[in-house]
Amino acid sequence: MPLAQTWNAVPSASRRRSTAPLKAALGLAAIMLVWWLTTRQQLAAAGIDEAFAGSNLPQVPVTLLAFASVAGRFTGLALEAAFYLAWWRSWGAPFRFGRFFGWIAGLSLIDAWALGLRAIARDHSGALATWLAPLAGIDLLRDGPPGSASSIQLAFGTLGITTLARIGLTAHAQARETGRGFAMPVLLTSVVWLACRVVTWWTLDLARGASPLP
Amino acid sequence: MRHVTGAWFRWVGSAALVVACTGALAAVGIAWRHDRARVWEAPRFRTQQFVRLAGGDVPDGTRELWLVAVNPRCPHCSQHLAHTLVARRAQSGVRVGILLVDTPKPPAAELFSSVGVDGLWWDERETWRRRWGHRIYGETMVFDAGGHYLRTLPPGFDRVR
Repeated sequence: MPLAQTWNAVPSASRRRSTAPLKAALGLAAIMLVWWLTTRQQLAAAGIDEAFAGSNLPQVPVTLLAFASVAGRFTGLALEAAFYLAWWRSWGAPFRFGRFFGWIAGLSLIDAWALGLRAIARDHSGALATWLAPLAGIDLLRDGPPGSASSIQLAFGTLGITTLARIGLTAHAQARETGRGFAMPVLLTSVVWLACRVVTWWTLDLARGASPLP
Repeated sequence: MRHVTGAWFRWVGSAALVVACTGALAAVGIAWRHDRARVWEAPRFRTQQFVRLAGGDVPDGTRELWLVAVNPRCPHCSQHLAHTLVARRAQSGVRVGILLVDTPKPPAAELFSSVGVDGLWWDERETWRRRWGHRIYGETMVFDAGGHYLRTLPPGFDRVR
């Protein structure tokens, strides 16, 4: 390599390295903003403000509820990344926590999009819900009075093409990180998803006892 | 030799992770199985079962009594109570009461004086949780005028799905 090229290449690579954390931080901030707006939209759809306007009860700070929800979601993503880190490192594979966390945080936008689709399906006629169910979750097909859903229906209700895409892309991110094939990551991610759904089902039952679920 | 030791440690690490996760899953499963096997008492509203803090007996002309389970430390309960009070306006002959649950000492009844409910009771003996098996704060239990249980509406029941 000519000397001039070497001199030019070094500062450029160095600059890329120095701006990478800034880009990652901005990306995460944008993802947090999307989740913040999604959560606010969900809380607004719950009609909290109208309910309080019609009673003499003190207002619950909606901003606090939204903040707790977003913080909880990102804590969950960090735990997910930590689990895969522990798993792959224990097999001697290279795995970078920060990079993978950024990946799955980005992939969580699929969940935000699915939530948006579910809100659209709820606001429109039953026919639209039927069309969107394979994409956004099979529980859009469920019909019945409030409180009629079982814990298992709620736990597995979000299963749809978006869920499969999320599992596939999470496995792809692991395959990239570890440099191994796709088969083992997709098997691991599917088992983790299934185990998490089963735990959600049992936990919902334990939390509700004889009470109907919201 | 060092290579063999490293591989062994990695194998132990993976096995420990699998055992820990499987163990946690099994523990939740055992707790779930045990809890689902329990048989709960059918709810029945009798005023003498609870400590009355405000309001009177269920008045004549009452078709249904909607009893909202409220815990004083629950941040969402006031929201669910507000929803129930709004939903009650569309009904005739419906009285709304508060059942204070899971609290060793009830708050002062004056705190609820401006809320607009017809009665306030304290579940001193934890009937709601220990005998009826109910656990979700903010739910509305519906009884007829004789105190017979009709149904339970989950928190946020008036929202469109």
